[in-house]
Amino acid sequence: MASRTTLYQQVVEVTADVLGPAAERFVARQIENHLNKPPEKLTRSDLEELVDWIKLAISMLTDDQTLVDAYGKRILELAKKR
Amino acid sequence: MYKRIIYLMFTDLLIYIVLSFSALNHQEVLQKYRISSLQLRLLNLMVAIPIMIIWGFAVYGYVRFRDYAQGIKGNNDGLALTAIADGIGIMAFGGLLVACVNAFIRNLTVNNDQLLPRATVLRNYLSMLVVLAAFSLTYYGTGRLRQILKRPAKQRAYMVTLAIYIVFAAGYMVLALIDVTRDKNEGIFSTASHYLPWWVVVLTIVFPYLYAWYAGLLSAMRINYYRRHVKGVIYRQALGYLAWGIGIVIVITLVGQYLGSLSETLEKMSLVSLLQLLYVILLTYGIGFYLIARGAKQLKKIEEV
Repeated sequence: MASRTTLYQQVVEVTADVLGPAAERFVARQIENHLNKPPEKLTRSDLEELVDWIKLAISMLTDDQTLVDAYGKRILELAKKR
Repeated sequence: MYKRIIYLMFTDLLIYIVLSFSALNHQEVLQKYRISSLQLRLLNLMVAIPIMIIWGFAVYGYVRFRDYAQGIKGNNDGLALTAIADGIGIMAFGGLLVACVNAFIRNLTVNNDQLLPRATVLRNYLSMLVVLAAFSLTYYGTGRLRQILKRPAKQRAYMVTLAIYIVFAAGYMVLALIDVTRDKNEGIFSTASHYLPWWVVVLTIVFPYLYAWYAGLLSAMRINYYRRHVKGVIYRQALGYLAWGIGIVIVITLVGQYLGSLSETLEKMSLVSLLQLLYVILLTYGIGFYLIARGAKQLKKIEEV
């Protein structure tokens, strides 16, 4: 049976649509710097706080607020998935 | 490390300026363009100063690019981009080195005809080695980028690149093989191109150039393909400047090399036309490196937020 991807990997996958090859480095950095935990330890309860930090960081890279909001929404939807 | 690079660049530029301004003048050059010795020295400066400015851009672009690539060198894209950055760096510094050597050789051989053959051979091999090293590295780096995409470039892109290459290569081969002055010279002004047997020229200069140009053209194609197909909306926007800059620098280097093989045609051009051609090439080169610097800066920002 194939192993499921971790929540961290799912967040990276969603982020890759925005940041491409830089996605994993970006997400790992946000989790380590703002949540003070290893990326692999990311839990669904962390997602709401993580999204705030991620949206803040992405807003510094683009003026497209629609993109930022859509990206944040996709990350939050991961909290609902099992 | 970057301070050392910048220090080295300024030293090289200073040497180049001194050599250009203090160059001894061929009487045939003065007679052909009907200018005085002082006018020729000033003309050398009119060439040297724009070259200085453009090389400033080149070093700035390289330093920015390498700084970004080194920051992510532990990753696949970092390794690829570091190799490309080093190739770009060799183009920048190698070009300056070759220009300094050319200026030195010009000064050295104006009253020492017996040194001309060896100096010409040295210059030709140095130019070839710089281009070969630079494009080999960009070829390697862009190959790694292609592996990141995990999708091969479309056949059409390869065919177009191959067609352009064949035209370039065929033209260069014809010029190289029919170059009647390659091992003879008629007076000081019409100098020979190589001072080597034709088969040595073909095997050790022409063939390496053909490979280098193939590698260079393919590198430009691959970086453009990577730019268009890599994931990440924001990443792609930032990469766009970098990719365009790399493509421009590679193509203009190829054009410059190709024009260098048209020495007989260039000798027939007027001074104004030659200067205009040089300025267009330098300006395009400068734009390429500016785009590289801008793209690298934006990409670095992604790694810092």
